[in-house]
Amino acid sequence: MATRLGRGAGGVGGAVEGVGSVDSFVHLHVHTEFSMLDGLARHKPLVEEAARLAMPALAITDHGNMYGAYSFWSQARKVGVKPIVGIEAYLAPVDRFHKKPVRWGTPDQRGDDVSGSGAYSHMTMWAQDAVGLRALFKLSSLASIDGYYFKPRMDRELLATHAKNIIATTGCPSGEVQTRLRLGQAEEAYKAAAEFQEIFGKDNFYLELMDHGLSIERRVRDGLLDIGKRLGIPPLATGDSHYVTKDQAKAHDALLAVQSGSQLDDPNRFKFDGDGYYIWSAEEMRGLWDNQVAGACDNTLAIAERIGSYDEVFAESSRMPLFPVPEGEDQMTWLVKETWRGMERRFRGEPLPQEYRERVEYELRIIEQMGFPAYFLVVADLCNYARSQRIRVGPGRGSATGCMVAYALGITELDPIEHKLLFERFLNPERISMPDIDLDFDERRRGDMIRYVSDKWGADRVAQIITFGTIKAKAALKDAARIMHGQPGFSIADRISKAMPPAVMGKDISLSGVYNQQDPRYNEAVEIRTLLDSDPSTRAIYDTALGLEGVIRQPGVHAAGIIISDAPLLDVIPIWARPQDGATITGFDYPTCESMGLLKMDFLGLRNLTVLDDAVDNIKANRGLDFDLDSLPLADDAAFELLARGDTLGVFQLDGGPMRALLRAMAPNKFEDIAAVLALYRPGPMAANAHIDYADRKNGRKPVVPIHPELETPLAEILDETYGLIVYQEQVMAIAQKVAGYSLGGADLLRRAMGKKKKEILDKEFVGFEKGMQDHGFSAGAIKALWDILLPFAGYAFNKSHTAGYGIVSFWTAYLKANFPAEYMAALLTSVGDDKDKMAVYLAECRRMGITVMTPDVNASDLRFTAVGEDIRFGLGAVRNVGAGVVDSLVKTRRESGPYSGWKDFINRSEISVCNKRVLESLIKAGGFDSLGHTRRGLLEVHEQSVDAAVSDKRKKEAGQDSLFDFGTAEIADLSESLLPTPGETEWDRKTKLGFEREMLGLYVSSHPLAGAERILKANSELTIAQISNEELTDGTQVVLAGMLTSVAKRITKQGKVWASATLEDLDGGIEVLFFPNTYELVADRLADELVVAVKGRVNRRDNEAAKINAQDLAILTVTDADLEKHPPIVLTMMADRVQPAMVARLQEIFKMHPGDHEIRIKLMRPHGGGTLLRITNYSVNPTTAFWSEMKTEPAVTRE
Amino acid sequence: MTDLPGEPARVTFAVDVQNLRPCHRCGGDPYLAVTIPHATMSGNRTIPLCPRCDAADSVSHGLLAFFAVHSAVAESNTNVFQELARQWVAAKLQQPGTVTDDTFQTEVDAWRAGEFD
Repeated sequence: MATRLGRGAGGVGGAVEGVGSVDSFVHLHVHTEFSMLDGLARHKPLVEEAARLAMPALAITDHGNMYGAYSFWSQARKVGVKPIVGIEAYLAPVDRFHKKPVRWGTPDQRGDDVSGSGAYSHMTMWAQDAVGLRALFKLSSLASIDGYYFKPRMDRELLATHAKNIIATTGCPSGEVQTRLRLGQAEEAYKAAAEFQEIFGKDNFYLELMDHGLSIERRVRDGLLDIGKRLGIPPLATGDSHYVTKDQAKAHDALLAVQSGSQLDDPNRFKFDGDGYYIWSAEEMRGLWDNQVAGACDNTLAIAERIGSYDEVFAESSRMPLFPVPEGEDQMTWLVKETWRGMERRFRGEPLPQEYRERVEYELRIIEQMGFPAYFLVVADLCNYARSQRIRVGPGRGSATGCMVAYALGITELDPIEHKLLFERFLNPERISMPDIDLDFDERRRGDMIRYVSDKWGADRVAQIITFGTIKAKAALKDAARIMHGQPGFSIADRISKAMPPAVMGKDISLSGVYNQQDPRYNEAVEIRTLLDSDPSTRAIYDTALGLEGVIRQPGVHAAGIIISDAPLLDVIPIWARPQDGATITGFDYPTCESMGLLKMDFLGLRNLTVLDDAVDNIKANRGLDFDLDSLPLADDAAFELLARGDTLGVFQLDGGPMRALLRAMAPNKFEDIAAVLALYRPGPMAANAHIDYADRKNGRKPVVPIHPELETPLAEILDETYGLIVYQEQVMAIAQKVAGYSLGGADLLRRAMGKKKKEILDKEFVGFEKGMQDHGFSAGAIKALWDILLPFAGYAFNKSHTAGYGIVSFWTAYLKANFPAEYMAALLTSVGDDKDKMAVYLAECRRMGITVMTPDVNASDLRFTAVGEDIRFGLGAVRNVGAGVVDSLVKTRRESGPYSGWKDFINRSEISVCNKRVLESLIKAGGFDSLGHTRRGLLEVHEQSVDAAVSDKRKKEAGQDSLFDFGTAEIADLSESLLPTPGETEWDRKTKLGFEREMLGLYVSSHPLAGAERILKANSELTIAQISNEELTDGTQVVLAGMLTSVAKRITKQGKVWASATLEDLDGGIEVLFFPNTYELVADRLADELVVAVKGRVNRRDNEAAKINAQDLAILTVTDADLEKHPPIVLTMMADRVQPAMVARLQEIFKMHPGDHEIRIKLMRPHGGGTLLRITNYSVNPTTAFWSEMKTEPAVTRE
Repeated sequence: MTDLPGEPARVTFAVDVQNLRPCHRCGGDPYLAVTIPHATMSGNRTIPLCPRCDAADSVSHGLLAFFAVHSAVAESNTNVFQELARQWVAAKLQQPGTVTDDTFQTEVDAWRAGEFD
């Protein structure tokens, strides 16, 4: 459509071609969801609306950022709307470094003064072309890096430096010019407009006019037009759009209430007046403006016409940094040299087998063809640096483990040929894509690695990656309920959320899916639909939430990703500085960065690598052994026995209950079994029962059946290792190569196609596959049998390169647990930090393994858990209120001048930071001073006075007074004497002592209130509490558990019925138990803290929350003091009238044969009630299974 | 401790008239609480006798009348008390001691629907 406008005002307008008809209009002031919690418009519907309205172009101008630039640009192009990328920038009222409120008016003009309580004004700007776009990126980035004060702010200096090819305006009512006018400062307004005109150039500066019927827009209109006239600034009509269509006004209003944390009915909340902040049609805009200010609409078309292409900025181009290589070398020649050097290192100088030589040559050739030599050098450098700094690197992750060059360079630690890993699964020469090597590091040192990258490649070329957190379904319900009903709304939202179908793989059904019959989960949403249809108030919340769902709420930072660029990122993409710590973050998300050719790497912090390092350190400290995991052969009897027993709590990726059951069934005895179990323990293979088949075939419980008799021999070398089952993607590829003549690259494409399960694609692929197999002489039956098996398994099969790489970590952890149990478990306990639930599980595992975990001790503990012989000492760092600084000081003093000989000595020698009442109270209660020979109770009574006296003296010393009175030590000693616990002071009772210990350590360590009652708990329960989560029992499973009730809390339903929640604890863990009204009525008299009970109920496991028990019944268990004894008495019951001499003789015989420490008591019952309890004084027994078996031969005697 | 008559189910129960917890229904002081073996689980259950909450419970009338007349158990009225207590516990043992699956499931559903909060 080519037309002439010819209606421009103020010197602008004239011939405009290709940007719509004379009656058209271009929206240039448009906020999208990237104006977070202020804009509701999403890019796709936004550009579609512009296209529907036949608008030739459309701009975005988000508040202070350019995060949406790429997405908007690509969406607009798809619908044929010309994208205009801009920003509504924040401008500092003085300069960007001035970070204090500024007022231009008098105190009574506050409402009209500088926006953001004096922090900024607004300005609208657009990029005229690629140069302008880069300038806007830079301006917005520097505004964040230098000028952040409530908002990222630019200033005149920045604008003047980067104004080239930027078109700007006087801005909205919050712009500097209009603000000055409102304050009655016409000259300052004129001056500001003139300065901006000077900065951007006469042709690139416009007078922005808005009219949504607001007085603030009209009050200064005349003054603004007057300035325009005086300076020759052409007028420009804009719409300040914040949503796409008028009907979204209500949803937008809700979004603003979410932003401000207020309720919709709050008359004083921040809100927009009216519903005109949508994409007006050209007719509407022209109807408003053409008669008021001629040319104001035409100029939008004029600007659109002037906007050039941004393609150069967004186009993919290699931005991979070049690795510094010696003179005379290039990236490839150096990679070749480094690779061969690496192979030599791997083979320790032995001659390289031909197969390896060929594989390396092949891979290097592909890497060169694909142009990635620098990538390998960069990654290898990172791994080498990490090792040089003793930062543990993961042995391999993802498909990169299949790359021999990566193995040679020390990027991975697994020989791909030995483990049948394929290079093409990593880099497919038939499918060009960036290599992706994710690196695992010791999680404590991940920050060191990011610093290294930043130092090596330049801080200006490295950044972490932005993510955009959106409002998810349940959060939308919560937000909607809160803005509509305030705090009470949360419980309504909770009610609606609970009526939603359970999340699948952590993902909820979308709110729109609830009423969308096309949604795959529609049928599951009956409960929520019934609720919404029957209750208008919940429906209103749902409707509001619907408008909020999916909108961006806030920016975040990718957990692992790092971008490395060959050029300063400021020149490439928008970046921002995280206000909390100044960290540099990209303004584009990962897919955008990747599509622009930026190198992304994932640096993952893996806790288990930390555990491995700590365990190795513990071995050195405890046994003096230097231990190198990397050189450990992947075979060890003890490790495989541990795996076969399923004793894998705390073993990497093999820790869950069902996994342990699978290990027991599988009885792994070689490394390949570990890789297989990691691949098989996934929903797909498990649904096909492949995991059980593997275990059964491996152990001869089922025969190994070939896919087809014709295929038995050809596929033997591929499938024998997995007992004829297809477990790995690499096997699918190898099969296609072997029997259908595919190249490995082609086989990878086939595998990908199979995984997508699209019929038309599969039909096409089958033709080539069938032909290939026919050419290899296979029958139609064999072809069909293989295809039918391959299809589902190609989807289920897992990447062996990954499971093998991670399998090494699993093997190492199993090896350490089996061979160095105390050292490994100490490292594991340290790693779980504040997660007391996990710690309780691992402490219970220590108990099961016969490892004693000792309470912390100021004379023996370090910061972390340490191995002491076969046992473990609690770390001081795990004591509540005791920080690393205190522990460092305490340990340093102990190491420098010997162990503390007593309380007085401790107080005298400790630094002032340690002499803190809260710290000492915590250590006392945790048992940290037990070894000093005082009771905990006694020390707690005197510790405050001790600290008061000691601190006063230490301060004097610090102030130099001890140089005047150099006899201070003696004085402290004298003073401290009177502050020692009274000799003979008794300790708290067991319950109090353990209660304090738990308060400080988060769990019972020296003992447990139920210690000794194990037999009673076991006899009255089907499972331990830890097993509920470990065994992953499904929702609704009925269980009987026994333990002690704590945290019993009475609650009231909306109908006024009483119900209760409580925690049930046994020696291994705790679980929340809910007693609903009818159950409560039945058992309420038994609900009290510290009662030992058995609870019958059903497992409640929904929404990925921790499992709970919904109780159906409860019984009180009697635990006497005698039960808690180390050797509880054995009580036998018999009826007095059935006691015969022969029976007594037989009993004596059994007692004699099983001598032990358990006293025997006999309850003689009278036939008509009552009885006598007798204590046997001549014998005590050991109640082994054999003892009880023999007791069963006396039917008249029963065990109590 | 005393026993309930009758074979083959011999039930021993303990009566506690001291250190009683407040009635879980009204918070008032119960007269006594008995501990009896749980019918379907190993362990015990306790049942309080509350003058306010059990006033409408016909099986409790005998014991309530006893306490109304005697205030406390004394040597002179032990036998009467024992007999009344036996009758009361025997009747209580007949009363349903569990929540049916249907009732239970209804409450679980109500809780999941957010009707309790």
